[in-house]
Amino acid sequence: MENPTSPESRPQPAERLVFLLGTIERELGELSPYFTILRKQLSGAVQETDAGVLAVIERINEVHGLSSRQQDRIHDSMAHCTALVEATRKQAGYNQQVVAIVRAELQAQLSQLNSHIERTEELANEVGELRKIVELITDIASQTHLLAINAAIQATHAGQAGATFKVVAAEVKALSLRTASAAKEIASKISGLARKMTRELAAAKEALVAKSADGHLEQTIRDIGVIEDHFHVTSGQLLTFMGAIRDSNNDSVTQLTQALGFIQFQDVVRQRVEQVELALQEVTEHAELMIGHLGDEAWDGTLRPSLKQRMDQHLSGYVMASQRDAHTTALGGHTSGRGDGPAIELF
Amino acid sequence: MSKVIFIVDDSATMIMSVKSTLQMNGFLVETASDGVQALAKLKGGIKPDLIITDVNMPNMDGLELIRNVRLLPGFRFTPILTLTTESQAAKREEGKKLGATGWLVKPISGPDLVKVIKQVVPGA
Repeated sequence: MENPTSPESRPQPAERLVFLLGTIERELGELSPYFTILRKQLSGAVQETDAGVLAVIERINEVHGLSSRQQDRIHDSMAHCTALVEATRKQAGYNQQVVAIVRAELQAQLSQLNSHIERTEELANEVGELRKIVELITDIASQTHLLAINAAIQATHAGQAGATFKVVAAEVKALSLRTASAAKEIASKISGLARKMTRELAAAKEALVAKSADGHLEQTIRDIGVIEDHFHVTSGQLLTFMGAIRDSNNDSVTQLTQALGFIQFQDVVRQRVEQVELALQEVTEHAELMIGHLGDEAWDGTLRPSLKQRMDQHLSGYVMASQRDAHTTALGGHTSGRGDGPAIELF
Repeated sequence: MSKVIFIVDDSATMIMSVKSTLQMNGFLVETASDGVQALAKLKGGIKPDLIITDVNMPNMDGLELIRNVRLLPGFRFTPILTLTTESQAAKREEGKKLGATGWLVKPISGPDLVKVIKQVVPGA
């Protein structure tokens, strides 16, 4: 195969020029598909980031949906918990009223029982006093009996004169015996009654002591109080816990919306890539323009617009400061570094 | 009652991003992909409490949309924010003259966006 660059086959200047022009035309002709490929690659990359970002946003929305449902449940739980606390608070107030009433009733009963016992004790004392009287009667009867015996002896000594007196003495003796017998019986009944009263009094006192010392009611009141306190503490902790979950959930929403803001980078990148695609399109057109002129003998050597003019037109077409900065610095210029204004401006 | 916000942008990701942010914060959202579609929806009867529009869009850009919205009956005082990569002072000034309420440059974080909305929408 002949080597086109060997000295033997090297073309003459005119032929060489035609040959080089042919090569340039061929190479420039390849620029169009080359840049088309690059544009398609960039376009494909943008589409992929577009799809990826949309998928991320969908996931963020799903996370938010789960979070919202969780928040709704927490809200419901907090509402129930608050209602329960309120009901318990009302019940506690009611319990305290009941306890106060029961306590007052108990105090009244104890006071009444004390009063009964005091009166019974007074009665028992009076019964005790009766026993002394009976003893006195018994003593009198005994002495009367002795007196009657003496009177009977004296009446016997007096003979016929004392016969009447002897009858009287006998009657007095019989009376004294009946009196002693009655006194004995009364004393026996008084003693029985006194024993019964003593037993009843002892039982009443025992009941009084038992009631006074009965800790069941007080213990129950204390237990209710402890349960109420415990419930208040626990429900308070529960509300605090739920509040913390709610705050955490709100923080999550803030984080998610911040992430959604960061995702907007894709739109910024898309517009910068679109600008590059436009530039590639223009370079392609420029190459085709040059190819068109290569065989044109009337061509004066100028290109309108020139590549420089095309490049300069881009500067006015940019939509963000970063594009303008990249363009300016690439051509050796300097940027102000201040951008084009605040990111948020209200008029 | 939830405020209605109308988002106009030719970027699906922007619409999704802003829509999700606003819905998470309790707003109702309507959307359009360019100025022509947005204007048709407004003429069709939707009555947003705020319009957030991109500037560089096909068919009708954001500045032209603002000009047309201000001519619609009942929309003279509706707040309109631009949300755009466009940051040139001249464009901002043009937007201001046409009746824009504020100029926001992409990207903007969710909390910042919500904060601005609460400033310009009464009762939001």
